[in-house]
Amino acid sequence: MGNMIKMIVVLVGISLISGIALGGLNRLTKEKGEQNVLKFKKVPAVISIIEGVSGKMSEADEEKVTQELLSSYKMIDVGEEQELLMFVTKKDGKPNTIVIEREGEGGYGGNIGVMVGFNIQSGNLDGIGITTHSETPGLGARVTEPAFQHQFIGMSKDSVFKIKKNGGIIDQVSGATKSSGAVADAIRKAKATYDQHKDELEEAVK
Amino acid sequence: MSTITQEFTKGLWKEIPPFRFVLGLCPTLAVTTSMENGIGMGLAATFVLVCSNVFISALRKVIPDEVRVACYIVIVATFVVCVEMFTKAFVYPLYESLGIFIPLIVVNCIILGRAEAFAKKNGVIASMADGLGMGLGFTMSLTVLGGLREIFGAGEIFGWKLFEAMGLNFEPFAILQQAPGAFMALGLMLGVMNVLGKLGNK
Repeated sequence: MGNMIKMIVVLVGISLISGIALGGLNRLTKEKGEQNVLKFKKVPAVISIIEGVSGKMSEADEEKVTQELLSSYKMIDVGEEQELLMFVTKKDGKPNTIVIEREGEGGYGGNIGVMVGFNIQSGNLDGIGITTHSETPGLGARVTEPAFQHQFIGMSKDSVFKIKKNGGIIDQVSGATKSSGAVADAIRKAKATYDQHKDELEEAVK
Repeated sequence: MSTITQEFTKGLWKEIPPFRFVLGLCPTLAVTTSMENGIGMGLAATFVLVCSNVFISALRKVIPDEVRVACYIVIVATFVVCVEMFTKAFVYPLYESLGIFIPLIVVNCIILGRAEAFAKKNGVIASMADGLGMGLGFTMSLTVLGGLREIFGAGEIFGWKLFEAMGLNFEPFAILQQAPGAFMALGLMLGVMNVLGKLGNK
């Protein structure tokens, strides 16, 4: 019986100490970790949209824009579980594009996170960038390449955002129907969110 | 003192974990597509190994035999989560490329193996030396394997185009970067290690 109690006490004690230590460490590193996700995942996608609009930028500019974006992103409450991540990008110093992130369902390796840029004046697409995906390298993962993404620059807001096979206007990556479809899904969702919350988003630009 | 040195150095060659025990193969094969990943994975495992060895050895008289494995797992898991949080906050690109294999250090056989085979019977200092030696041996193995796969599989080293810089026209063996190539490279290295071991014994 004494042995039994000792077993329980030791195991509980070790677990308790470990839990407290990890809780503390989590509080210390959480913010930094989230910042890294923004810096290494989200911002590069936004930068690829900016480069599609204004042309390739130098490394120094990229650094500057990264810092700018990191300090200017906004979380918009759109009444869903997760807040909407939003960036505003500039062209010639003036706000030009509203970029929001949505996840497309139906990818070959799960959901695909896509940043979708909408032109503030026209509402047309200014481009897209992929943030997270786990598609097959060399096949579905080619949705991250410029060859696929270029077609979205300036795409009209009235287009049917579906791949051609399903009656839309998006050229799919050959052999990667599912991945292309998931990106299209994300764009449709982003478009719906954009239309629905246009006022709030435009308010946030100011 | 000489025994401490012995505990340390045995992990570097005589009992170098992936090659002598053929333990811990999951990370060895999976993350060694580049030298950088190999070093990162090795150091992460070394940290966990040293810390868990020290704690398990320090608590070896307190932990009842019946629940020892559960206790070991909790201690190991604690340090693995530490590593995960730390890499996520400070070396994010490495965190990205190691991915799921950081959490999987918990079930790395080397760590539990050393706890069971060494730390639970020996003192704190000796266990620390053992962990450090085994960890560095593991790191060395992963670095060499990663280096070989990166050089011959991608023609690069630390992302630097080696053969181009030397002016050679070299077509990399792309298969070395994939899973089957990991087994091939490991098999060849095991073979070389065995030959060297035999020569050393003569």
